[in-house]
Amino acid sequence: MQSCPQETTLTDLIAGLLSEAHRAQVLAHVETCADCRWTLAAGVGTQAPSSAPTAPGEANSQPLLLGARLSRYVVRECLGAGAMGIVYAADDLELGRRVALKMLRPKGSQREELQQRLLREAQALARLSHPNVVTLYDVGAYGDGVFLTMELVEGTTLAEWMKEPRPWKEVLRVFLEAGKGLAAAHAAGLVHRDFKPANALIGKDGRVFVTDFGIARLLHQEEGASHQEPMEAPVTPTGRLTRTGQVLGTPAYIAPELVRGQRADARSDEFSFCVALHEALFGARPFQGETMQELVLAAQQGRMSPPKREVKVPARVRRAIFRGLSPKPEDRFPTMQSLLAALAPPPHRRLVPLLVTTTVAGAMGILAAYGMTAQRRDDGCAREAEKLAVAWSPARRERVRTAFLATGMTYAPQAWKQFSTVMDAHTAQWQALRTEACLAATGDTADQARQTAACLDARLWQIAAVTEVLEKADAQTVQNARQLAASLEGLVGCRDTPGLTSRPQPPDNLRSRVHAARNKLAQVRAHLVSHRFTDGLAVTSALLEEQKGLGYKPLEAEVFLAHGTVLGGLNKPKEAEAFFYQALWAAEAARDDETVARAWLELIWAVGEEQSRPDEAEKLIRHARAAVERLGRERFPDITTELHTRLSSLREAYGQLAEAEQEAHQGLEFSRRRNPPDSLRTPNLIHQLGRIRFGQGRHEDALKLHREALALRERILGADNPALVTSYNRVATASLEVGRYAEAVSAWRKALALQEASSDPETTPMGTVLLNLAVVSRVAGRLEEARSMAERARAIFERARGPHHVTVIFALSALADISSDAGQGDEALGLATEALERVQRSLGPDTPRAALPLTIRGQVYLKAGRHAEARRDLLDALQRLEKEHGPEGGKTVTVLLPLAELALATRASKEALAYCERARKVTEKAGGAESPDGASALACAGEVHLALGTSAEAVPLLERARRIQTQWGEVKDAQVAGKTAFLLARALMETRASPERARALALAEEARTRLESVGVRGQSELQTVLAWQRREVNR
Amino acid sequence: MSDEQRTGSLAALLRAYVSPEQRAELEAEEGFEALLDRHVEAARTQWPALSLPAETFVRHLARHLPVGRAAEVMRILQGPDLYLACACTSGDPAALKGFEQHILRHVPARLGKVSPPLVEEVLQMLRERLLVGSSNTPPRIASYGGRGPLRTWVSIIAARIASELMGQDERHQLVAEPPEELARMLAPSDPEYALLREDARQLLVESLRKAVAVLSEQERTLLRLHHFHGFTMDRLTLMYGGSRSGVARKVADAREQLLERVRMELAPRMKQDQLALESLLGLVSSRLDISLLGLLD
Repeated sequence: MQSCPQETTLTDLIAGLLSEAHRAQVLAHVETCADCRWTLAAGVGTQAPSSAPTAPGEANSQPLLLGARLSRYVVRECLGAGAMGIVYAADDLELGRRVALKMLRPKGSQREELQQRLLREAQALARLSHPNVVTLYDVGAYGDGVFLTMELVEGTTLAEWMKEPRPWKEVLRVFLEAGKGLAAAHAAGLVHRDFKPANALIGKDGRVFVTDFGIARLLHQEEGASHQEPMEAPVTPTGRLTRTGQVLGTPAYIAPELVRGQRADARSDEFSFCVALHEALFGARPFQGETMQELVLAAQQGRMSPPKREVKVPARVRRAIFRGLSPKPEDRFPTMQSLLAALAPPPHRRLVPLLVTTTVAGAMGILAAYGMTAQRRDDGCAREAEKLAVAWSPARRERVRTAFLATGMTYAPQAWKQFSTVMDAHTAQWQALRTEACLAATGDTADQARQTAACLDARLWQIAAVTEVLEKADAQTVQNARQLAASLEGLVGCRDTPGLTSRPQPPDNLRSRVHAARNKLAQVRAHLVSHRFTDGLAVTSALLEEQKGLGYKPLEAEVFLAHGTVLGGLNKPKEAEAFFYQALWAAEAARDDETVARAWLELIWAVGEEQSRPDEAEKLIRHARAAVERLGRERFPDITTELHTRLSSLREAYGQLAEAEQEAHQGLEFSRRRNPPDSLRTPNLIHQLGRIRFGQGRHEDALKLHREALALRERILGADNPALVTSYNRVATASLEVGRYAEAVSAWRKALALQEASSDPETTPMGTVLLNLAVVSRVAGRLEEARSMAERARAIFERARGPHHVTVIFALSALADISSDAGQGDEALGLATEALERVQRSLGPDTPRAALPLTIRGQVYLKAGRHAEARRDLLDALQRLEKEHGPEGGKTVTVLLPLAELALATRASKEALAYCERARKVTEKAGGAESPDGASALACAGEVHLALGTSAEAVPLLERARRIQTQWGEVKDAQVAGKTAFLLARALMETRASPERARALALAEEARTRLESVGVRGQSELQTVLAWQRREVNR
Repeated sequence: MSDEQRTGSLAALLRAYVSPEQRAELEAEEGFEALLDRHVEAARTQWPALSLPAETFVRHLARHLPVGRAAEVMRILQGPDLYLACACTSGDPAALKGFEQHILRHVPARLGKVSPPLVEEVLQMLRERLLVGSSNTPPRIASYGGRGPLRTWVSIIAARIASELMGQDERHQLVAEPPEELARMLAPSDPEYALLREDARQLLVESLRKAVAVLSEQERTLLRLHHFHGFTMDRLTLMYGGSRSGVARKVADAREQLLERVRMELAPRMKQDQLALESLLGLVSSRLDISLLGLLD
């Protein structure tokens, strides 16, 4: 792109003065250059004042739309409208907090000047920080208006509150608090100038806040006669009172000297304060008047109206109020402080003034110090914020980018874009919060600010650790970049609840060494997230040595825990267990409840789930629950969520599905409420619940849940993240179960593609996907393809999990199925027996997991005509499934149907029918009447009726089975569908109704086509169909 | 000095300062003397406090009459602005004050979203760059030629300075013309837009993004300048040349195309996504049309 045109060229373009050729050239540039378009807009002065939803120039006249964006704020809700402007609730996108946004619409001729003054004034106010003053956060220009953002106080205005009579003591308490706010402002040299009940807020917790310092005056002064200093501008009081609000704010509360044009000071605030207090106590304002003149006159002459209601207020309070209402400022209390002291209740009378004085003196001292060192402090804070460079300097950013792109992975550029965006935003937020904390490290919030700063610094190590890992990014790390970014803990917690968020801090003499170690622990975390366990182990092994001499128990516990976790990742649960106990003991000694809870959770996994020691697990669960309880469920949402997740997973592994379900539900409810919306914990729990539903045979529910989990994970991790493989696989499996065959295959293919594109395709999720796709290929009759995929899956599983793992059993069973379909009965028998022996060796002779290989072997025997052996295996399998899931468990269908077939083969039709009916009941109970299993159960019953000669009864059953099997268009299993079609053809033909004959022939033809499509798998059935066709067609 | 004499003398001065070619051009322009008088008169009326000798101004003007277009520039000359710039060149305190109040004061509003502290900095740099010269070069304001408003010329420089001062990301954000904004501009106060679900909004924005990408550079730029940056049809006509109706039609055509594309983008997505998008499509096809027409003055 050529360089941007000069200012004169652009000016000429706007004025239409360029020659034809030059114009074309400049316009061509402008078309490609957003900078120039913006510059041109600045030139003609049509610049949208901010990203306002309204057209330029109209920003002032309309209320803001919800969702409108002003600077870094997004308007969410309109809270109310006042004389000065409209107040909204808005979100501060940068600092992630909700604020009140007040839109001021100054009117009058000198808008621009006024706007500048408001900005200056408000910037001064932003420095005022006091518990009874609404903190002003930010000021900005918006069109011709100005917006202020401030602390959002949920509650009501003092004016609202005063509408009901209140006990005088309560009134006094509220006013004393508001008075403290005013006093603090006075100490800072700020005068309110328009104190009135509408400008004080009472929070839901009863805290009182004064708001709108000085701003009202600026606005109203503009509308008055002058925009000079009030000193030179006597305001002529005119007009009726009801309308004078426009003239001078709220005249009822205004001190008489201000009306005369004198400068406002603390004593004029004192007067306003006393008017409001009088009104609150006695139900009426002290001075009355029909017009402005009368009112001012009454105040000037000190002519007070009698109280509207008689209230028993102590004499000291009345005296104090009357003095505060003196017409001459010099007759009032010299300061707000002395007024408050006079108002305060007697028992504290000696104490309170002292207290108040010291507080204020303290505050003044700090303010003075602030004034002197403000510049230095600003610089210092800038330096503090510069620390960010260790984590995300431009140079490091560039190195990480290079590392990403150097992996050559197709998704690297996309991953970089996403990651850098997240990091840029995260680090910008860090800087903003860190600066804020640094600037606030004086005054009465100093302690909290220091905690916040420490907390933020710890977060910075995390950021640095993540970026350091990514600087050396390989393909696998890039793949996990989203998780890494997501693993960064939120920063806002540091500001809002630093005490709850930060780890125990070491004494000063250990500080630097503990910090260094924790920095390394942050690296370990990053390694864990990116599954670089060996790298992580190197760091924790070194740390184990390094921290020995330190003797700082909380750190010791952290290191043990990290070391154990890394070992767990390396599939060494036994070794990990030892370190988790070490961590536990060290944390107990250090009274470090957080690490205690984390250690118990790890132990549940290592002992209960990985090493399958159920008795011990029950004890561990109780310990873990107690630890989380002690910690406070709400305090560490990640720990509480983890507890539920771990327990649900453990219960599921033990086959206690009801308990597993309950844990998952509780965890999910909690996670949705307490974890951030982009937390992976929520989809993880949904996924877990989906698995449980699947185990319960509730496949529709499972599918819904897995789809939901997938969508959430996709949003958080990005669409091309291989971590989605598990979800796709689950969606596919559940889809298949409910008959959505095409959807299942497409989900698996997607999973396969994701995994093949990743750095290490030979992972266990990949094995699962391969195995499932092998089943798909087998069903479609592509037996060689199926075999090669199943073999690959088996190799993956054996390498990752050893020869006896249940996944290997699945692979062997699938291979047995394939051989059986291919007509290789002996080979199938060998494979099924192999699977059976392995699973019994690893999980014991009575394991329910043996049901699958037993069922397959039983079917192989059945096919070979070895009915006794088939019967033995199938009944054995049924018994195991009944024991695990109960007699009506959804899984039993897979055995009941072959048993029916066996019974039919041995001419035991009644027995066959009983099995079919039982299968139907089971599928209906599991909510799967419309599932392929349900269809098979119906076809089963139909087939038996056909065998019994009651074909009229068979027809409706087979019709229904056929409808279910063909409802999604493409059928799941062409062999099964072909068989059903053929059964229906036969049943129809046997009912002898002539109109059905044509349909029967068509169905048989359909059956033939379907069976032919699955090759060798459909051979024997196909022969039967062809024979039948020859017979019937020629009839 | 009588008016008669002054007229003669101003024109004579100008003739003395311009080159022979420019002189010929000016002579060919009927009533050029009166034109010159009017410029000087207007300038002095607007800036009575400036004590700028007529000779200095005329010499300054002569430098800014481009050869070949001297007469044209004379016709459209921003006399008072050039006069002020000329006075600023000589460092007249009254001129500097005038520049501050008449020009600089309006710059912040024109910089739009730029943050107040940065605007302050921009103003400071503007003063340095425009008003301060060195021993052998005059201040840069001397190069202002009076061919467009001084405020425009200064604001453009201000915008450039602001870009220089900002980080790349910040600048990118500032000048970005995101389709979300376009979507909101297109339907400024439509309550239905406020009610749209986030996913539907995303979809609308995405469709707009795609639709905008399909337009030609020129169409895109016209829509952006008009709808996003608020350029009026008259301004666009000046910039693009040709007739006003021609430019207006181009903008309207681009808008039509945009809407058509958005509709095409949305229609299939509605089937797929099973989102409740009926209202969205309605919004695009009817309400958006209306609001657009409203904006097309």
